Amino acid sequence: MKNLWWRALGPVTLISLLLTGWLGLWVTPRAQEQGDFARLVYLHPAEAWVGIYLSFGTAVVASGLYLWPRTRRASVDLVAASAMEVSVVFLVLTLVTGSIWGRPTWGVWWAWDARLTSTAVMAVLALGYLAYRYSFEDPTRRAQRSAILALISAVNVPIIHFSVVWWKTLHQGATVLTPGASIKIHGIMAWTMLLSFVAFTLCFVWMTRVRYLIARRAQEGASARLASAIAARQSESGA
Amino acid sequence: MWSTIVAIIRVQWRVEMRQRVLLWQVAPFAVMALVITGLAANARSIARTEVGPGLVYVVLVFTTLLLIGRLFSTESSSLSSPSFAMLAIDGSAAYLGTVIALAVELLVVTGVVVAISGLLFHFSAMSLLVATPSIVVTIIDLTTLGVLFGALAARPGQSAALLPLIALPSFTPVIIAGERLLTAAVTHHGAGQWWGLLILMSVVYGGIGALLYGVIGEL
Amino acid sequence: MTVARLTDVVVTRDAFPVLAGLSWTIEHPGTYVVRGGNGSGKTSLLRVLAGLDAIAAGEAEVLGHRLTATGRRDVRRRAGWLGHDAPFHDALTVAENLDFASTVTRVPRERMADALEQVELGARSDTLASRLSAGQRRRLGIAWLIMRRPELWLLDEPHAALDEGGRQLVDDVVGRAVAGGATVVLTTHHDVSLSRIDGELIVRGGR
Repeated sequence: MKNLWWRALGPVTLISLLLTGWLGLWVTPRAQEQGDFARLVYLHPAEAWVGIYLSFGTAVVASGLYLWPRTRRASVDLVAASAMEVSVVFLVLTLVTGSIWGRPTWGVWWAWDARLTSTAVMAVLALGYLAYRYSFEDPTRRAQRSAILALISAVNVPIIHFSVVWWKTLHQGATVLTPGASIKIHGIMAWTMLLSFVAFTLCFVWMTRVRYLIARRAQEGASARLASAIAARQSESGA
Repeated sequence: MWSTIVAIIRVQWRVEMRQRVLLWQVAPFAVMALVITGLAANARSIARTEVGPGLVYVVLVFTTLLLIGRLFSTESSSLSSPSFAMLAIDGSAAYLGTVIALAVELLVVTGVVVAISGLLFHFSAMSLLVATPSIVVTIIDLTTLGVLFGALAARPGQSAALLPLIALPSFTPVIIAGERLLTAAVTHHGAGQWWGLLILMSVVYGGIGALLYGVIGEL
Repeated sequence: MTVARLTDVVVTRDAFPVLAGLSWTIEHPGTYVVRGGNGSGKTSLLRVLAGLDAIAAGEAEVLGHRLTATGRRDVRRRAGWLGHDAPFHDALTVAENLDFASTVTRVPRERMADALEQVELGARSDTLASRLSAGQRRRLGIAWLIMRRPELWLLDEPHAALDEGGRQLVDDVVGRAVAGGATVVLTTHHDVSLSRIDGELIVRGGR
């Protein structure tokens, strides 16, 4: 049953992405002021959700679980690393689509507002995690130290989340929910946007799983190499 | 614990008094960096009060990274040697002692940089006085963060680029807050909300550092 | 209490197995000699016993502590190390180095004068560690062990860089430590002239 879910994940993800694309490009109406550029609302917020919160959050939670003795497993560490790689991808996509969206709205490709800047900072933070992680040869040290780095760096995430409220910014205000929690877009646009969140969430799960499987295979290879290195070393002793 | 903290501070100061790296290398580097960044930013223009605070903090960030890299480099200290590890120093005490020692060194350099910046960017003495508390807290933030990341990045043969790469993103909110408060002081505007961020980060990262510094050393 | 028990211990460094399934038990305090060629794993064994290195596989218990992260720190608080590295800080004097170490480990500072006399560094207490010769740095490390009086002494080729007098000093200090109930484990390439050796281990290929 579990295998069936995993096998179905790829096709379901693809279908939901295609459906989002179809609805977003052809079914939903053009926006009055932003025209077709507003269709980026079916990409950008969902990418930000995955990049900033979902995948980065998964990496942080998995890092915390790895450091907790009862849940310390190599697989948990691989999930953290895989999720962080996916986070980098989606953070870059967030910046690219945000930049494209900002050009006609703000007149510039890059505006130094808090939200965009914080997202760029997070992308560098995630890249730094990966660079740090892959500077270690020893898998245990790599897992432990990068888990600590992920947890330490996670302090920035709430700062990013509240940046729209804390600072004056050029960024579009909260697209769906205002602080008073009333919904700002309606009808088919709202449903398409919701679908985009679902589709990109599935995409995150699929990408993380694929990356995890690749990493697990690489780790099995490393374990096999270590076992043969141990055997070779033992043969030095004549054993 | 306090005796350990004092002992670590005393060691750092003794080393500095003998080697005089702060006086003859770091402070001149910081001043030169300030002049060069001022030239690069064309600070001779009328926008100098807008540009100046940011340049000050860019220089201070790189000075912090320089000091931390030096502290944790295996050539200049014995922090990673087996003999030192065998002392099994309490992690929190080691962290706090190191942060205090480094913060004092950094504040000395900051004093020089800020004084020179007053000349270069035409900040008034009164505005710099008003900015002093925010500068001090910003430096403390940079030090608490920097020592933590320095410990993470410290390994024999480690690339010198790794420390800035993992530290700079976490420095960013501190730099923004510090710069906004310095700008507010030199332009006589209010920016009180930034204090919350500075204090929050010093408390949070100071606590994280005290908890994890010893753990990092074990890994 | 068993001093140390290592069972099928594997230690890796950059994915290379420096120890590859080593087993050894030290039942009682005494003097133990570890021999082996270059790269055999002698120093790595000592580092495990000192709580300096984590084990990748196997079981290890030293001075009653399992070698977890916490356990390793507890071992380091009760063990003493003499290696090839410089003791503490080059930019401090002999006395400042010992003063710092005694402060952070709560070892009575009053032991310093006698320890320095025993290692014949009494006249060099105000000399910077960086200006000591290799042999004198070794003696400084020995002085610290004399001050600290650990339960477990781990000496990595303690006779290296020492003259005849220095080697005799090491043997005398080891003898006194064992007489006082400590366990001494030392590595060597050469024959040692200790009055008593309670056990010997030959390390080859990390075992």
